Amino acid sequence: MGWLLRHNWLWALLAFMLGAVITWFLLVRRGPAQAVAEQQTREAAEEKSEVLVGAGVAAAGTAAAAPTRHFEEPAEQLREEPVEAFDQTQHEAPPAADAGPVTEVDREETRAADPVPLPMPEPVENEPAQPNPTTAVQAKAVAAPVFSRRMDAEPTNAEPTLFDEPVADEVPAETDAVPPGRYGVGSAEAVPHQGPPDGFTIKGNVQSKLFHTPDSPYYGRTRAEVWFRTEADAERAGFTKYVRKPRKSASPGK
Amino acid sequence: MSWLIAQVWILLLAAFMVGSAAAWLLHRTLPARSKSVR
Repeated sequence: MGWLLRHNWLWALLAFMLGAVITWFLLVRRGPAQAVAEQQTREAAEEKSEVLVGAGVAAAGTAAAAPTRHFEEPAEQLREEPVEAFDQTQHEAPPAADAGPVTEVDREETRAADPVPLPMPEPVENEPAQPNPTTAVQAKAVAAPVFSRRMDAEPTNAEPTLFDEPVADEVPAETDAVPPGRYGVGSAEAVPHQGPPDGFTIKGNVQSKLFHTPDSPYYGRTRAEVWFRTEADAERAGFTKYVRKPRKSASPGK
Repeated sequence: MSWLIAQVWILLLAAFMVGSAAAWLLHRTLPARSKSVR
């Protein structure tokens, strides 16, 4: 095959350049055309608003007859807009479809909220009547799993019970058991197909160096590569918080 | 002889595809760089 290339390298080079030029031309031509289209839609929208304002004053017939050409153009351009939006964001998260993140966050909230309303006070009320330690241990094992205590986050506020001390001892041991990730203390490596370690709610994207708090619209669809405990931890690791960029069309016109 | 011509055509087609892929990759990386600055 080498001899073929040796004999025809000029033609191969020509085909290479032809392919590159055609592709580049097609890719570049789409960009400015869409910018122009966006400009036209913006202008058309302004004209339309003017027309609508005038329609209240002028006769309805003239107002309806005049802008027909302008209404056709934006309709045509608006059809192209989602394509551009997709192209711009195809390497990031896709633009906000509200259902995705909301359901994700909801699921997370329910998951976080589930263990909280466990019947904590019940063993407390039953406890003075049963000083027997074996029944107390059984009641603990059945009614109050260890993780429910950590969800409360304020064990000091609860009434002291017989089995508070061992639980309080376990909590720091388990939080310390989370090994620090590659960004030091406060970060944790994400394990595929697993949720975050307890207390780690902030998702970090290693490529973009952005982190998403649960408030972010892309929180649900962001796959965490590293988890952070607090925003300060994430910022210390060199990550920046995701903030929604202002939409282009809204900036100059209004 | 016809096989030779076919080989040449295949070579040209491959070169065309490689060229377009190179241009696409270049075009893809350039806006990404400017986007990260923004």
